Amino acid sequence: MSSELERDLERALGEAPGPDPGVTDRALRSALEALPSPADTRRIRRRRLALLLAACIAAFVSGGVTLAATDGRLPGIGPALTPARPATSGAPAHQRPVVVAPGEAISALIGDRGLVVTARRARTFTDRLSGFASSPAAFYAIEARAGHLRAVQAATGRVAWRFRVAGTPTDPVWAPFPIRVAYLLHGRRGLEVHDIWGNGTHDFAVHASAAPVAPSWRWDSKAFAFVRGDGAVVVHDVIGGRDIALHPACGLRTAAAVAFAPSGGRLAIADRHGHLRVVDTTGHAPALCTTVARGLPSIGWIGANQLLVGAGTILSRIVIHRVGTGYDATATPGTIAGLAASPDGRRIVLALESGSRMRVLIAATPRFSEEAAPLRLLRTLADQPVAGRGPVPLSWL
Amino acid sequence: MRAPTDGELVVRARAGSRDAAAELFSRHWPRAWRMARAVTGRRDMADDVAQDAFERAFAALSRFDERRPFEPWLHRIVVNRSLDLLRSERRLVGIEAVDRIEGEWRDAAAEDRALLQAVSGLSPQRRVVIVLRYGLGHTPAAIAELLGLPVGTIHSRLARGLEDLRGLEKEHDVERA
Repeated sequence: MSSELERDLERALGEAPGPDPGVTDRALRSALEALPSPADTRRIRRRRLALLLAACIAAFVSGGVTLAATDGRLPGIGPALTPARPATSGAPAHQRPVVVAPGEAISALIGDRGLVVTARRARTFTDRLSGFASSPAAFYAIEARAGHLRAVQAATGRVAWRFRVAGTPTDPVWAPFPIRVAYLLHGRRGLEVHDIWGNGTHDFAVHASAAPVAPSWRWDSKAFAFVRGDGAVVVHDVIGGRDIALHPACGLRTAAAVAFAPSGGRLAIADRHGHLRVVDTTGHAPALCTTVARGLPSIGWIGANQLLVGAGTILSRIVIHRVGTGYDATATPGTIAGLAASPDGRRIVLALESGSRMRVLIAATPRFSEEAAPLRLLRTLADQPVAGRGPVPLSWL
Repeated sequence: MRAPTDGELVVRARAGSRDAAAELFSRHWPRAWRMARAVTGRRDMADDVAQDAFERAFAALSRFDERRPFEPWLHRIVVNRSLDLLRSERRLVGIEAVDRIEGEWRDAAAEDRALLQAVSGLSPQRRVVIVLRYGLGHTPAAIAELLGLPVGTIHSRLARGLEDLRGLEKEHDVERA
């Protein structure tokens, strides 16, 4: 017999407000989009059948080979009778260069696919992405697609949250303490800068007019820099909500790249004309001005006092001394479309465009002792036809 | 004319009929959404959970055995997604007590708000069972199958959930007095 409470529950839960019609329409559209095509379904069935067949053939062949190799005798099961010899081929582990150290993660958006590389694995993320970034240590990755942002667990691909946006989000950048994500939104009103909590709630429109330049977070995750629609650089304080616009200097009027140093308050700003400006946003040191190669710039910091700027086919290194700066440069075998340095500064990841190919590769940080010193390639992460012009967002956290 | 069964709609949807898929969606969307809302306590989260559950279900239609009922399968996805998102929220923003979520029921009928708020205050395990039983009318045996738990556990969670609700109602009455 049902009690009064049970009847109340049935009524309250049964008559609770339903979904909004707009939500229902959107959900129906996205559900229909997720429906596999009949060809996909047939392909899956064929693949299953093929796998089963392949497994049977493999079992049959390996059984035959084993019997042939053992002269018709069944192999023994148990510990080997002879002690295993240590492997002699290959370099000893301590001499092999570490490409991606444990705890590090490289993320890239190549064409419309995301890529996360850690010490243990490389994982690609589904296509049609308009933006992509991994959180520090690659626990989560954020996928941007027309209409929504989505955070997924990098290891499993499981969706952690999803946030709908009115437009196409691009250039998501996770704060060093992964509690916030800054991103750009191409909406009806143009390009806006947004900031959203790392759990997919509390989305804030930071500025209504932005330039298509990826924002950069300060090390303490309390502020990030972005480029306004008029080319000026703005530092946004996410705690107090205050915006500080930097006055133009060094002949630099329209910023094309911004990057905060991994510690301290230094902010590097570069334009397409080879102007580079380093500002100490804490106000402790005077601003520095220098020039680098012309072209779409990419900036990577090595510690708080050294930065790499890639533009065209020239990779420049600027060392900030207590007084003045040091500068040297080397050439790369392709136009630099993206750049990031490893946390220890010993390795870099570069996106190089050459002919019709885009290569993303990890190299040892050049010594800069001579011009055109060849890059010491450690690993190629991608080599594919160029998909669209523009920078390749890269990060190494 | 007899309306097609869920199984028939699944077969037609798999063969490429968007109409069949849309029919399947309209049949099950309201209850799936209400369930997500009741488990998460939040409208915005329910929108995402229910949408995501349908995307997953439709993407996996080719693997679904159409001889089995569609709704419990879908509801299992909704339950798992709701709990996953609540857990991930706790992990990401460090919410201390996500077990006792703060439901947002301002849009519910005035006489039901306190009770719905109390349901949100239950532990997730009891909340899910209460919602499946009283919100969606599943039998304890069906809930047991859906959640992969013994029927005895479901009965026990139901009884304890109701006990908790009575306690919370009393607390509420005392506060009002």
